[in-house]
Amino acid sequence: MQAQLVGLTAASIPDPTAALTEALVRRAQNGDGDAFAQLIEDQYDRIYRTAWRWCGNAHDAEDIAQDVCVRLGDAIRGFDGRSAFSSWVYRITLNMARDWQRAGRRRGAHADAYAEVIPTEEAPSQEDAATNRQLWSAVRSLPEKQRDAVLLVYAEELNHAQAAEIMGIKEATVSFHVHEARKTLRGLL
Amino acid sequence: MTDHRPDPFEKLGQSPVPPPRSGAKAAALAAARAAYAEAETKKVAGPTKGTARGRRLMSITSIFKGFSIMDMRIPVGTAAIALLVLPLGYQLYSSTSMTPVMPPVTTQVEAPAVEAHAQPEAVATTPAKPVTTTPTEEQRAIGTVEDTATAPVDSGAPAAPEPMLMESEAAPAADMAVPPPPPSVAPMPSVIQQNQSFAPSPLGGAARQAPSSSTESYEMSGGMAVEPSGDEFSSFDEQRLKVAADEPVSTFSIDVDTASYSYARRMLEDGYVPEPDAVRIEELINYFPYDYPPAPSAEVPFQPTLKVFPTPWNEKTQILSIGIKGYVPPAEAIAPSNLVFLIDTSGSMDEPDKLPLLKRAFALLLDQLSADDTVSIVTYAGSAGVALEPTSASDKAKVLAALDQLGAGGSTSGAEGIELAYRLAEQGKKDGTNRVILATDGDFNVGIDDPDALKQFIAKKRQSGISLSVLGFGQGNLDDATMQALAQDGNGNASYVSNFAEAKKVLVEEVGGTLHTIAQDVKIQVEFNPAVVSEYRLIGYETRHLNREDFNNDAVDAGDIGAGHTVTALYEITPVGEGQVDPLRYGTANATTPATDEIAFLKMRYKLPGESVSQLIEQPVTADVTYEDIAQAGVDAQFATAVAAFGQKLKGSAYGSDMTWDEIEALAKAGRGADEGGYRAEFVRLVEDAALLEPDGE
Repeated sequence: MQAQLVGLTAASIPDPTAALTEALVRRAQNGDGDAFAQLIEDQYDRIYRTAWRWCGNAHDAEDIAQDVCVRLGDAIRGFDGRSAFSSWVYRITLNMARDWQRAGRRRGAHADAYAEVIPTEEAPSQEDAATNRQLWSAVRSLPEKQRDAVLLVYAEELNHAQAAEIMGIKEATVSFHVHEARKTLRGLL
Repeated sequence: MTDHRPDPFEKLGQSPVPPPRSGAKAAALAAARAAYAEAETKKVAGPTKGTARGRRLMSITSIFKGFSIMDMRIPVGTAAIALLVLPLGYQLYSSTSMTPVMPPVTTQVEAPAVEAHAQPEAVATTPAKPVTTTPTEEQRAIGTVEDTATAPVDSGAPAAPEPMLMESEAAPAADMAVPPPPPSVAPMPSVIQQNQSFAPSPLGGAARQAPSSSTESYEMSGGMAVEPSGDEFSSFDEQRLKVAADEPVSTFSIDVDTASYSYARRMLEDGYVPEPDAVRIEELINYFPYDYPPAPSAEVPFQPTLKVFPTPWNEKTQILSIGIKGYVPPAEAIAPSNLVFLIDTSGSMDEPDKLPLLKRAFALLLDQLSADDTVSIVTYAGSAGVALEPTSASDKAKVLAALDQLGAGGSTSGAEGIELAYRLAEQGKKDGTNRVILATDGDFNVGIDDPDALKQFIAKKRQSGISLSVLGFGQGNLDDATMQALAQDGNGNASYVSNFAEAKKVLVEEVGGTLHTIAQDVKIQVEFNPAVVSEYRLIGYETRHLNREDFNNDAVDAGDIGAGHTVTALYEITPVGEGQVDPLRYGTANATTPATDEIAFLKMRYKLPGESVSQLIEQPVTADVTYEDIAQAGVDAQFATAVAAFGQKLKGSAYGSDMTWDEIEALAKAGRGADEGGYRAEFVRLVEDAALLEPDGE
């Protein structure tokens, strides 16, 4: 879904969405407030979704997403184009989610998350929901690197190269973290 | 509960995420906009950091900022120091190469605003300073700010950067940051006054050019601008306007490199404007094939095509276009080739657009070679050694098998690659083309660490008949400057291979030019007739400049031209009477103006392959080749001019930037012609991309 924003490939035909995003980024960097507003408007849903997946709690996700937006407003002029804009946003979101969790805010509120999952699902069988809940809870309890790798690859459905770019590690290391995550969770799932 | 699903993680992607509340979203957007606006204020007030344009200035402003912090702590002493340091700093600043080449413009209007805001502060701060003011002012000042005057560091901190601002920045800063007026910013008035007298207007212009911010800081070093991409380019100054009466002779070496265009294209397609130094206009122009008349024979391997037509971006001037096309020998006359591929297999090559692309490109090349040709492969970095002994190109299976086994990985150690490659080249040396082709993404750890020693090594081998070409791959690590330098020393060409289509162009369609040299050390010298031409400017070729005396010196190296290569050089010339530069009041009378209406006289020198004595081609540029309208000059002229205009605009050149993207696009479309490879259509698309990224009128 975000694949078109990643500038790693040698594709010679520019994607219009990517070009638009890049143009907005550029204009925002040059001080165009409207372009920035438009850019954040476009990005917000994805940021929120990512934040939700990482923390599993709508309140926290909203707070994290807002912090990310503020940070973007502060930092967009420093974005240097070394990586794709979407990767950069991911990186900020992940860092923000991690800081949030480290700060220990709303600890113990995890139960809320699952209360919110269930009503939106198509009346899953009790057992399925339980498995699902257990899976998410298990993944979120993984060590940070493993959790990030697993969520980027499986929840965000990015490929290993994109995940590697976001995490700032090598592609092979992403695969290694996913593998480790499987090993860690083997007993649980 | 754990039945045997193949992969539990797959379920993660399917779980729905509850949508965000619209209220939360609105709040986040508002907060973001506020942060953005605040950062904007900070950006204006503080030193700028971040994007490509004008970067090199930033180290200067941050040095200034350092002084300003000291100012806050020891206000009195520093006021005196500032008086000494600022003029000195400006003197140093303006006498180094870091001064931007920018017309002295703007910001005059803003100066009064600074004064207006600075004045009350002067009043407020006088008690602490030995600055002469009237007692009544002093009284008033003490009355209003006496409590704060004693805590200069704390209360003044937010405004710390202000004293050192260049005037264009200072005006808005004063507007926005003043409300809680920094009470005891002692040296501010005097410093700002200083700035008004010392800050040069180029600084104002440059500050405008550095629209970026603060949170992530990159340290700039001296003259090298940090690239957004991590790729490196050597910087050069644009060709300047020359007065024909003073310097009638212009000399340069031809350049058949195309790397700059491929690189610029890739950056634009990824949504970035390339660094000005990455844009070499002659490489942009020469990327495209032009339909110049072919040369008659191998003995006279090219002949010039000359045209003069109006300049689209300046109605007072004309363009002199010099086009040459290399002789294409018939297939049976092509000498056998001995190619040694020196391939970088460092870990960084393990990306789809690097080693895998190289492998596919190589397979293409193999189809172009005959049974007389030999191929060998040497790898360096990662896995070092001979991957393929010299093998006939007809033994495709063996070559491809060796190629398939190449893998990227490992560290960049154990590299003696380049010597090994040249040794193999000598082993299989043929009476034809002997060439080492270095394929890399920027890791030149080929076994000789010292760049100068490496260049010498390559230049020495060139004299023994083995040349070097460089194929650049990928992005982020590319060392363009080294690539260029090595290819130039090795009498080869540097190409940047960004995708498969590019590989096809370099290794299939232009394989003749890439592999079969038909003339060496090709130099061009143009002498303008001051009676007809008042000023001239060569477009591009900055890095190929030669001295006038180099032209007849056969020992001086210059560019080589391959079979079928086309090379185009454009001069913008100003007819007599239209010049920008005023004639000298006490100038010499035109003593020796020949009675001729020739516009210029073209001389070209070249050596046939393997010969050491150069041949000369001469041809006058007469009024016969002048066209009233660029449309009559043909599609090639129109297209080359459009590319030149594109390059100038992309670089932010002082010349020809007035042309809008639409005009450039229209000209390129008019010059599209048959466009067999589709390259010109691609260029038109690129102009559109550039217009999107850097809209006109900003």
